[in-house]
Amino acid sequence: MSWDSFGYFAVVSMVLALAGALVALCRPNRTRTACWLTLGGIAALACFVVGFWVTLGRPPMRTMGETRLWYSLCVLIAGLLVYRRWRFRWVLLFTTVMASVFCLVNLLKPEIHDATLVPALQSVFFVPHVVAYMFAYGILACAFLLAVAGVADRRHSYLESIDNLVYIGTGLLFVGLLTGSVWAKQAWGDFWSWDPKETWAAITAAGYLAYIHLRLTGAARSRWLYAVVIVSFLLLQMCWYGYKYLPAAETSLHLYNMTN
Amino acid sequence: MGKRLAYIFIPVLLAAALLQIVFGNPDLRAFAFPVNVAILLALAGGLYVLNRERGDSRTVAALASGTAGVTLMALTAVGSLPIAFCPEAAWQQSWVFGAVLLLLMTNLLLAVFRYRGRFRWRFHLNHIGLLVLTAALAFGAADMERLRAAVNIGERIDCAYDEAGMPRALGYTLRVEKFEASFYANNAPADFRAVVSADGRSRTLRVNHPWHKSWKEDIYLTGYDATAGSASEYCILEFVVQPWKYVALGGLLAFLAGALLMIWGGKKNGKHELG
Repeated sequence: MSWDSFGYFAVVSMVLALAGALVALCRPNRTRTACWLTLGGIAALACFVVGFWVTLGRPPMRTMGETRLWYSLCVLIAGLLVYRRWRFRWVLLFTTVMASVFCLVNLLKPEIHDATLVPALQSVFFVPHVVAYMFAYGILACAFLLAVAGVADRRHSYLESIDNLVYIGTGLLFVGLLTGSVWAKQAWGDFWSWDPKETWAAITAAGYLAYIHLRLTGAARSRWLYAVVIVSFLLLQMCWYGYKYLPAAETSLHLYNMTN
Repeated sequence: MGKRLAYIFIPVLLAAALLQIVFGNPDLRAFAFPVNVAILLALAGGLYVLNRERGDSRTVAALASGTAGVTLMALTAVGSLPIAFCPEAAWQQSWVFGAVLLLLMTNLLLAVFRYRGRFRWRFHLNHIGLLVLTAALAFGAADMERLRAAVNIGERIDCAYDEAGMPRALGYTLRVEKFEASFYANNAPADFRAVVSADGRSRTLRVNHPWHKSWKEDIYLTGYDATAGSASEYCILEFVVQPWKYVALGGLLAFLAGALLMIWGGKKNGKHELG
């Protein structure tokens, strides 16, 4: 399955996910239908990921375009889990829009997707490291959406849901960070080298840990807590791709494909 | 941040800023073993005694509190920004950043000594893991050595070069027996490997597959003559001596277990009594 067929899978996936989101929004009692439609959208995208993986003969996680593909998949899954657990009717719509934007970027900016995998990426840590991060990004995107809703609604009732998302998302961030750390020792000789991506990962983790501790101590008002979640999510964007636009990125060991 | 915390943090950070202005970044070698171990033991022992003798004082409670933790996380994040934007300044080696890490370790140690709340496994694995990892990487950096050498295929070396370009004895003789590289159709490297021997033992080095020469030393294959490709006449080896490797790995595994418990448990009802 080549990259050329991505458009078809993306359209089918997003149409199904959008239908699920609209059912969730307009027909509150049709929860099952909304879930099945969203699940159909997830399955369509997952089929492409699996087929693309088999065709390439390597995990499709090397280029920015490939990580965007995983992010679209993970954000849809995270949205479905949040909807199933807390029944926020609007959350599927937002996660579908987020996933669609990233699919659209992939369609508009086709990148080189070849079978090459540089030696540094040929590691048992490659798949768990990237998958843990992408799931964390998807779950923390849902926390961000709830925080924005909390600011807009001026209610603190979103915090309980955000708590669970931040605990799970931060746990996954640390799984990604720590597996990456062991991998860095195997590949580059040290667990931590203050590479630009590592530095932004530490800053992002500090943001989410601050939120968790602020909640535990009860030391901050809800609007400040929402602000911490929103700022942490912006920092997460720096960690994922934003750092590449800074001059410091020239020294980064994480640039595996300069065309991306 | 409360007044009590401000009275502790601000003088420490000001003193570190003064040292930074006067001396610049410290020479890490001044903190090499046994100085780093002595500082760590003094810190842990001193805080243990302080907590036992004066545990009910407001100052100790403030230092151990979640509020102190939040403040220090914010300081760590803000302190990391210069590293993110300007890595060549090596701010991570500055007195100020070192002071923030020392305060963070103080907070973690006291929190571990004093914690009596729920979810103890999760709490201790996360906090002790982070503490041990921070200590091993921050203090262990003083004992770490990275040496490099370009070695011709078939030749022997008994020294390599540090970052300043000074030759350092390896303590053994190493020979590169063979080098091979394979490439994709677009000339991107698919794999490269070198067979090396030392002390009567032989190993194949590849990226992600270093030779664990001893409990503290690993040998890495990091490069070759890219213009010559598989016909490269030399390869570049890196010799990393990191005596704190297994300490860091222990902290990392504890932290990883704590992270998995966070995913498994999520936010459970009830406060952690962080103060």
